[in-house]
Amino acid sequence: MSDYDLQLRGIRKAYGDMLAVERIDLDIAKGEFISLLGPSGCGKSTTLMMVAGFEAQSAGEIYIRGRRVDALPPERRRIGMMFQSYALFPHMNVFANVEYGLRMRKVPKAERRLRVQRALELVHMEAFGDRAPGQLSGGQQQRVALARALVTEPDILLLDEPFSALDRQLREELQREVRDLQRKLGITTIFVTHDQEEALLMSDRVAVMSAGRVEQCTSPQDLYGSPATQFVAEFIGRGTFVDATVRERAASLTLFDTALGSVPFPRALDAAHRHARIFFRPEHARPVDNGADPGPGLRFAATIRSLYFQGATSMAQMVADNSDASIVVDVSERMMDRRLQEGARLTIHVPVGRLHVFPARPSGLPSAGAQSAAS
Amino acid sequence: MTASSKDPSSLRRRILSAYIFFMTLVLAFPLAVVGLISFDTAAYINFPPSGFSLKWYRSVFENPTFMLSLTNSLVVAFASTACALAVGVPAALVIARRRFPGRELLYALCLSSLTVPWIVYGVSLLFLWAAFGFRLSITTLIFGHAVIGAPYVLRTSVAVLADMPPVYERAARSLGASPLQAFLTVTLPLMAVGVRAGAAFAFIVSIVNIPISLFVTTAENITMPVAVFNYMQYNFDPSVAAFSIIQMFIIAFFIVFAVRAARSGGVS
Repeated sequence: MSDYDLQLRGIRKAYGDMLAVERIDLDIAKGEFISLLGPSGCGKSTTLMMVAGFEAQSAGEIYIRGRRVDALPPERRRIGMMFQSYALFPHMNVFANVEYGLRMRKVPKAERRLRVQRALELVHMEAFGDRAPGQLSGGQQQRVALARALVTEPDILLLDEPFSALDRQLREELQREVRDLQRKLGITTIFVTHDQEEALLMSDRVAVMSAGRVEQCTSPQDLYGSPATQFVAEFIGRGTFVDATVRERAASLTLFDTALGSVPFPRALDAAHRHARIFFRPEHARPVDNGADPGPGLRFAATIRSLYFQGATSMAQMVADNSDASIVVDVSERMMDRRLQEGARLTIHVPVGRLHVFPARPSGLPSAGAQSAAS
Repeated sequence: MTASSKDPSSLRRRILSAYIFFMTLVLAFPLAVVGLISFDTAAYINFPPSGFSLKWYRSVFENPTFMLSLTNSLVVAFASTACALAVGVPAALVIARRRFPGRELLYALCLSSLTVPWIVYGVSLLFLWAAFGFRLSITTLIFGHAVIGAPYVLRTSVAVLADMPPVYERAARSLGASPLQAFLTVTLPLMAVGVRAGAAFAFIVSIVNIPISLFVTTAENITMPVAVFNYMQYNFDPSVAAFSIIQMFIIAFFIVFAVRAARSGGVS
């Protein structure tokens, strides 16, 4: 009926007066890998639990492959699930764990053996069938958990922070493996995580959530390059925010005053807003020579407070001359420059095309709110 | 004196061993006395014994009341343990897994029969059956014992469930198991340690119980401790000692059996 494997329509979850999920609408295409990313308490886990059927939604509808499932118990939703704590049954060996879902679905014994064997081969655990889960490392346990979730050929795969209990190297290895397998099998996957790196690395699309809402749902590249809201800009990657006030407004141009100087912005801002926050990424702020003209943008003098060498990249924490705001600048290309040291004063330029403008949030900026009320 | 005796840790070990030996003696002594008396030749209980014979053991087996009470006790202990399990395990699941107002209160209420003196319980049960117009029978006796056994099952089961994350049940459900299937194939095997411990307690409190049995038994459904109690009111020969020893071995047999079953179940 539809090309979507999972559809959430106006999903809402309230616990008494507390809204855990305010409203979620999502269409997830067949074979897509989508992450629900956000800080703890943003509603991402609750959303996953509602998809799985462990929590009942207060309102809204859930469709898996066009089939309405929101009133069905978990065992009838045809899902596969991986948990943070692996959740392998400790009283069964690896083989019996993987076989469990097939037994529950009354698959004949001969076929069960074959499918369990295939699933274990898929995760390179075929030699461990008679081991107890307790005898396996965390990574091996999570591989078995993946085989167990996939063996029943579920309509969708739900991942509830399955990598967060693993150490870094193992985590990266398993992330790659899960992603490769997911592509190979073409299974639609929902992945809940609070780790932005892992979400960006693995997903076709990332839904950034905050306070029970999806702030933005798009590709990792767009999320980083064109954050739709201030929250997304803050949550994904790094950057600097500068308070700005509208000085002049024209049809296709807005002139802002900021502590770092004024900047013309080639787009009209909603007339209701007098205050805004301007945001830029560290890699778009570049040191320039004093005489050079790099074109329109923010140009300001700033002093290096501290330098952070991180291998491939190097960051400088800077303070502008006439502002105490802290500014992060990517200085990787200048790392060999001898003038680059703590206390050095540089001219920094951010091209206008790299600036993001967000209407100031009244709640986040009480002083700005007071100003606009007075004017 | 050897060199090692100067070692303070060795001295500490010796003191500990002496203490353990003494405490074991204190605990085992009354039992030893009963054991010795049961082999006495005298017609009255007296200590130290005056000879050795097995005649009191023979008299136990020839005493129809004793033999009837033995069968009754086993029937009641097994049946009431089964009832205690049937009530205690589901109650534990509700109390440990569901969140609802009054949960703590319900738990306390369910455990309250552990704090009420059993003799009070016996009297109230007697009145209860009279009020309902039920005649005393082995069924009413089983009910009474199940009521005092269930809190033990509840308590040990809740303790195990509290340490067991609900994620196992969720994993089972996500793999297609109905709530009942998830319970039978995952939850129950994982909580078996607690259930077995609770069952052993329920079995013991039933088979040694006097206060409740005294009020709700009749001549036909008399239990072992009540038979001993009755017998001792009119007789004072060592056959009660012999019967007590037999009783002890029966209980020990079933407890050891339960522990073995728990081990072979693969759960430590």
